[in-house]
Amino acid sequence: MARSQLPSASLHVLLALMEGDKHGYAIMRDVESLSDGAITMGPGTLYGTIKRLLGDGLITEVTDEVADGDDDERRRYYRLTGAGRQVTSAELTRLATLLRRVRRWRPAIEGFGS
Amino acid sequence: MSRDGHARLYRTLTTLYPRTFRREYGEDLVQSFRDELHDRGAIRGWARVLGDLVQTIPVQHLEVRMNTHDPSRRARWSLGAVAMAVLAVIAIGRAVIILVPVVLLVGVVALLRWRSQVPYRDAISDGTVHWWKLLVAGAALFLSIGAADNYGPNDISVPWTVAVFLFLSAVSLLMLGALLGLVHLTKRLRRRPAV
Repeated sequence: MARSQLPSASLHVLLALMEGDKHGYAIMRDVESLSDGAITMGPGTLYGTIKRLLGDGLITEVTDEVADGDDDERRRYYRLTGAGRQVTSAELTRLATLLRRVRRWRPAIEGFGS
Repeated sequence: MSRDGHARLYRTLTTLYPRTFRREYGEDLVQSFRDELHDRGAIRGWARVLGDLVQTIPVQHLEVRMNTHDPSRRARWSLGAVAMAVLAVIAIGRAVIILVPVVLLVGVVALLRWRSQVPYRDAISDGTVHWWKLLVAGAALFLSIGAADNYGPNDISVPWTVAVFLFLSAVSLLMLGALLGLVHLTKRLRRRPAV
């Protein structure tokens, strides 16, 4: 049974977590930065995505930590699991393979030539 | 309005999420909104979360229903929805018929958005098998528009732009369902072994 590709929001959340543990708002900021502003998440979209990724075992919640420079607020931090790293790597490989094939197949296509 | 006031208003809006989602992530939602207010200001903060609320509230409610593996629970939820609709008609009267096409359309959009967010799970391998659901949704939307036009209250006028939008949505659902049905049929015919 073919695996469906990762939705864009899920992939970007996983990519943001590849750098290390982050809390929700930091993930939101990094996703926007990573996508050059193309993907902007609201809190509902973010935590809906986090809920699904937690349910699928691709990320895990780490023990409450205090955010840097903000002693009064305890935020929930999230971490990529081993399975999450594998899925993210597989997805990036799939995209890289697709790009390579497009370049080989149609090098004349503007913007895709190697 | 102070930042606390904006956060309180947003917290009130988050009560529209399912209880389980709210219980788990309610504080995180409000905290993220506070951070948005701090970084971007009230106007840009609200501009982001309002669209987010409209999209994600129906999706979260749908996820709660679709993720149940208990057929009897789904049946109870369906019967409960029908009972609520009947009670609404009795309590509110014919005016509720105007809302039916809008509710149907919101439900279909939420369903399509939920489908797009379900990641890599093996449960759904071929989306074309759901072609008949789009046909049913389009037909139901058409019927409800007709019912609202014929049996709805005469003292409530629906803007023609809304009526046209609902009509075109019904047509789109029917055409998409027919197209997916054709693709599904073609796939099945191709899978048949050669004689």
